[in-house]
Amino acid sequence: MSLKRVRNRRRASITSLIDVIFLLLLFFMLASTFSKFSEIDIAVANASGIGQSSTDVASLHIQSDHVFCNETETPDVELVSRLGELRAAGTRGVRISLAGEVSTQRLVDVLSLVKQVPGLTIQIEDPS
Amino acid sequence: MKRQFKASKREPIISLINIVFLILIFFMVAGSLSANRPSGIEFVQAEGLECCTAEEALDILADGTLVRQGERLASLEQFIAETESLETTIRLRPDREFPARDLLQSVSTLQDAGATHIVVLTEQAT
Repeated sequence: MSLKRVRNRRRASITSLIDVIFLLLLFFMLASTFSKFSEIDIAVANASGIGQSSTDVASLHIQSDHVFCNETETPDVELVSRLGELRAAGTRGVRISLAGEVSTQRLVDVLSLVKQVPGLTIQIEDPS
Repeated sequence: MKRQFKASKREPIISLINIVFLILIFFMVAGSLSANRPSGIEFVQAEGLECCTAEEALDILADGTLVRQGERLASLEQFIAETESLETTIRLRPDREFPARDLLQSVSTLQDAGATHIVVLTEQAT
């Protein structure tokens, strides 16, 4: 008799344990996310701070599918090597302007490419 | 006879608990509890940036709606008025389809109001 009772108690506790574990599992599955965030600096240069014809600043004009680097059409894949060459030739910074239809995603894509070239300061033109 | 019957019935339950425990521990360790995110926002994806930073930021939806900690803000001016110090880093988390021109205008407005350091949050692309 006494043995049987003990067994019954054990089985009941396992079932409620499973219930609680399943609840916890469900909570963590629904409430948790796996996305991680990074940050990228963004600053807009006012018009007076930009030298109009300084030779050591390259100009980048971003369009939705390609970039004009110093008035030359440059595909994204060649942008880093092109900026690397300019940096080696003495360019210290880039001045970025935007076409009207460019999305934030596109801007961040190009900014992260420019950041791969060390030593370049980034100025973004005020669009207004 | 009786014992064997009971033993074979209980075993799959214990292995079930083991597996469920494993999944539970996985979610507890690997996942992080998310703060209140506005619905319908698709974060900017980026690779190769320094990981990782806190999630707190001013969300900007694709249509320009500003949301801070689940609370909708009427305008950028309200955000500036409600922010105690603009000297600290201002963190923006725009939707990926938000026009970059509008983003730069917001950044410009914040700078004119005295913000010195503004960052854009991007989601780590997988």
